Amino acid sequence: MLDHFAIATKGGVVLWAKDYTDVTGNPVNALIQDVLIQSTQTSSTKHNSGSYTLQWAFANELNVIFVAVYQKMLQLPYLDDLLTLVKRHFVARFAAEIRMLTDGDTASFPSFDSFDEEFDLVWQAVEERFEQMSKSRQGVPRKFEDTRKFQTTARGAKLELEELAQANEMEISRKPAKMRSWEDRHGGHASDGKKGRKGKKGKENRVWDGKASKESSQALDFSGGGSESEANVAMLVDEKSKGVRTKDGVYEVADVAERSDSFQLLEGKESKVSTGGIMGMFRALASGRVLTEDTLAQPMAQMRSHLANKNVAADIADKVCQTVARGLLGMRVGGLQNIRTLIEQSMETALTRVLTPSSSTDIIRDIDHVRRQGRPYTMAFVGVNGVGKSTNLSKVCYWLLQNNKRVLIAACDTFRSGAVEQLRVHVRNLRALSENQNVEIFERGYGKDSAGIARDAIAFGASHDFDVVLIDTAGRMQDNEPLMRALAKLVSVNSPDKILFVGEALVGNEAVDQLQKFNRAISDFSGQARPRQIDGIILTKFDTIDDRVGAALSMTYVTGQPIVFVGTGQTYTDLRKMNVDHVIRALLRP
Amino acid sequence: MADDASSSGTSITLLLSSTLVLALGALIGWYILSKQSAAISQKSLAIASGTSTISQPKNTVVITGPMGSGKTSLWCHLRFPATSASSAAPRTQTSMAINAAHMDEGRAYLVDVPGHQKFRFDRDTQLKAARAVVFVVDSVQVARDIRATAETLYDVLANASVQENECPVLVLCNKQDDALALPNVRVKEMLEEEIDGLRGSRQAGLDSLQDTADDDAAVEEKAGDYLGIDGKKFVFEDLCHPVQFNESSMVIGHDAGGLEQVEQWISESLHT
Repeated sequence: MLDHFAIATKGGVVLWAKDYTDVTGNPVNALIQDVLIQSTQTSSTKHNSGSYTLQWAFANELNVIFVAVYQKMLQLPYLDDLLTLVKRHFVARFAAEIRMLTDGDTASFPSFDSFDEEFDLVWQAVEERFEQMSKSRQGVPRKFEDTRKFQTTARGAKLELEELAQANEMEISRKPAKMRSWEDRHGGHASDGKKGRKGKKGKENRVWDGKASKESSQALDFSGGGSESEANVAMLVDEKSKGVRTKDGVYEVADVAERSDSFQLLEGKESKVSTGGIMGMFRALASGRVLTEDTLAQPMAQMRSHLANKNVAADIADKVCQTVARGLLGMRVGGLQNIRTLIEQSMETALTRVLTPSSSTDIIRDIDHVRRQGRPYTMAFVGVNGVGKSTNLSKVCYWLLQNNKRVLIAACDTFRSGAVEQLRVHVRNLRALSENQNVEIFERGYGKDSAGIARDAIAFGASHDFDVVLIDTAGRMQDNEPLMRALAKLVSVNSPDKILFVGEALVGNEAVDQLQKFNRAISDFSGQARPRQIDGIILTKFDTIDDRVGAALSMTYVTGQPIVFVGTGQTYTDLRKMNVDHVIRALLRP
Repeated sequence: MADDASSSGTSITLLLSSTLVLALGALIGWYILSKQSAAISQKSLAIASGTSTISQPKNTVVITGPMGSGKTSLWCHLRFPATSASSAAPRTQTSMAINAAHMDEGRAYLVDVPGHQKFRFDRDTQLKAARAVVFVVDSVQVARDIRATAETLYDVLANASVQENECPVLVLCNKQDDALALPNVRVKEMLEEEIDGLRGSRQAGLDSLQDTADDDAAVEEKAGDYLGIDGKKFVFEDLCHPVQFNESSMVIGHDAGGLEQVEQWISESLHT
């Protein structure tokens, strides 16, 4: 059974709540923080959190959310119905009070306690209805003769033929009747008809001579008879409003306050306004139409293709559009306004929510915090081949040098020819560019195990008082299992403070696949109880795309992690911070 | 002949005038309908985007702070003073939308922004029209969450509109009914320390995307980011707008819980 049911506004004010038992922790808050605010929810309305399962429903036009909490091991199949009906009843009863919370002028908070009874009644009704439905569905199991398998057996086939033959016989027997000749028909009919008509025409006049035959006296007896001798009991007393008979046999009249007899579940859809002709059109213009799935389908499809044109991955565009559409169901739009403006506005809100980081992206602060613990801050750069890991690593190094940090670069790419030499050249340039030459390279040549090199580099950095250790790894395809295992080993052995996934802005649908597989590999192959995940994203080659910034959205949506740096060129100063406004404007520009 | 001409003339003028009247009527009707439908769409737009339904009035007070500190409770107390005086205000849970309403007698327009990090942009948008800011802090959790709390407070204080309008800021150390709550002087010290470290790392941050077009504006914004006086340890008194620290509790009733002072502070700040 339910542990907790809450009705609250989206703004956080709890209107009505019922606790059936003590609830540990705060699962409703966890649901809101982890699922609902993230805007990456799928179409399911169920969520597991700790030992509870939560199911919810929205009333979008009033900004109200209905949440039911129950134990995870239970299965309550009627909960969907319960949520829908509770929503309908609550909205029907308290719509005005809810609007008064923000728009009205009252100084006292309206009370919603009177909903207690109604909730219990609704629940009872839903349970009963569900029981009836399941009984009628189950009942007695089917006979074998009724199944399809029987029809394929020999006996079944024979029976079927017989049935068909019977049906055909009836058909055949009917046909001859039709095929009787005209004379037969009319002759027979004529004779019958004449008789019948004669019989009809032979209407006798009533003879009032004081003598009535038995038949006529019975026919003339209009004294009520059966309809009055037996009183129609069912019509006299309403069974439901009868009182109760106590144990002593005393019959007590039912209470005035008994509501069970007049309780009706609110059935049916929302009031269907008649859409007849001109009056319907005027009504729609005046009071606005309510958005339904059908009216939203076409504009949403346009928005989806617009996002796909901007290089957003196809299923991400799909999911975002679904979330936005679900949030708009039930809203009113004025007859003369376009639905498009409404969709664009809520799309902008949803996309801003997705792209806004939910944690701080201040690296310098994190470095200071870690340095106080006496060890260097380690950042690992991972990604597929050719996205710009080494280039962007050197850009980050340049930025850190400008902030007077001592940086050690660990050359853990022991596979690609020239990788170590490339980093040597970068270090040489950076030493020339910076004043106190606080950058060094740690390398062990080619062919060695990168996890071991990283471990030695961190130990070297700690002993020589370096602030930051940047770990450059080899590029690897997300499907290459041995290489992904090697990467997971590097991560689990050294546990870097930040794992940055380097992805290029040119990638389209591949971004989703890359990130998912990288995340899964790092967590599956790590062998730890609480494995790491990708902590941030570096978006490179941003200067090569003009408006088509969809990759930023795809990557952030898939991982939920923020974009920490954006690479906008190929020199050391081309590193920027992410600007959510700029990306959103570029995405929604036509 | 003349009569015919004049009659046709009058009929023509009649026709013209009637069409004019009809056209005027249609125009007026169209205008009214479009206004009405715009209003309906505006309301839905506002609900969809999670902002207030009315365009920002002049006396907006923004209530912000980290998650779980008691902002929505404070909003309820101030919005429904009758209930708050007699009994406890309604229960609250994590907000996922903005609460905005007029305080009684239209003294102030209260905007409660959710504390979740994802609402950062909404908070910045609301701060553009703010005349005063109430920053609610959980006095029990502040020691554990000092970094996040200090960052949020820094963002509020460094916000361009807040600095330009010199909005007074009230830092409310809430949940004082708990035995483990820190006093507001201690909270003030902790925040000053953290912000001191923060301003250095903020200055060291990278430029934002698209900043190369407006170098001057970007430099100005970065300069405004730096709170307090360069070279001196940060204290709240160095800021050009008044920052006050108060204690409060939402569950021990209207007068004992420090809400009287909050209302007083709001009236004072809005009238200066």
